[in-house]
Amino acid sequence: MVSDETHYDGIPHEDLPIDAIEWTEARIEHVRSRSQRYGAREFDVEPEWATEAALDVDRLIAPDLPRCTAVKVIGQSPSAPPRVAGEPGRILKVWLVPKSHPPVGDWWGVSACEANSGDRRRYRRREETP
Amino acid sequence: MNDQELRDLGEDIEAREATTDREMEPAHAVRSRRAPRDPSEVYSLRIPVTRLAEVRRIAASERTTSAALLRRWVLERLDAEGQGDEDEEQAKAVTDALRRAISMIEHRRAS
Repeated sequence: MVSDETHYDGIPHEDLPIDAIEWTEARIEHVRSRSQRYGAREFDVEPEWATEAALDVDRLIAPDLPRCTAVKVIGQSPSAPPRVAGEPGRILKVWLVPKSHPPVGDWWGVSACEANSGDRRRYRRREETP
Repeated sequence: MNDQELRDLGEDIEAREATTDREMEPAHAVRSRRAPRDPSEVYSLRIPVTRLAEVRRIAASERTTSAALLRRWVLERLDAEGQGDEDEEQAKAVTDALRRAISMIEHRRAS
C-alpha cells in the first residue's frame, strides 16, 4: 500500500477514516509534560483535547514527512483553554498511526502539541478548500 | 504497533518538530472530506486515586488503557439501562395482557 505525500495506505488523505483515538499511558504522560521538556511557555496537551482536535469535522490531514508512518491532523479542541480570551478553544496538531492497515477508523495517538502559526493560518483558511 | 514503537515514533516526531521552522504552513495538508463516524465529546470525571489504581490494574490485565476501559464500562452500563427499559416495557405488556385475560374469564363466569 502506498503512503506518500497524498495517500496513506493507498487512501487519499482527505478520505482517511479517523473515528476513534486511543492513547496509551506512556503517550498520555508524554503529551501532558511538554513544558517539562521545552519550558514553561510550551503548551501541555490533555489527551482528551487532542482527541477532540483529531475528530474535528474541519480538520486538516497531512503526511508526516519524510517517513509517512504517521499522519498529522490539525483541528480545534473546544475544551482546551484558548490562546486568546474569547476564542473557541485551541487549535492543536496531533500525530496518529492506524491500528490496522489499511486504516478503518481506529488510531493510536502518538504525539500532540499546540498548532504553530503556519498550522493555524492554514486551518483557518477554510474558504480555500472544498 | 506496540508501546515501544509508539514511543520511538513519538521521539522521532518530536526531534523533527524541534528542528522544523515552526512558522511554515504544513506541507500537503488537505481538508478532511470524511466526518468522524460518531463524534465524541470530552466529559471529565474525577476518580479517587485509590480507585484509579484499581482501574489501571484491570486495564493492564485486559491489555487496554484506563481511558478505554472506563469508556467501555460507561457505554456498557448505558446499553444495560436501555435494555432494562425494554424489559420493563415487555413485563408491563405481559401484565396488562394477563389482567385482561383474568377480567374476561371473570366476566364469562359471572354471565
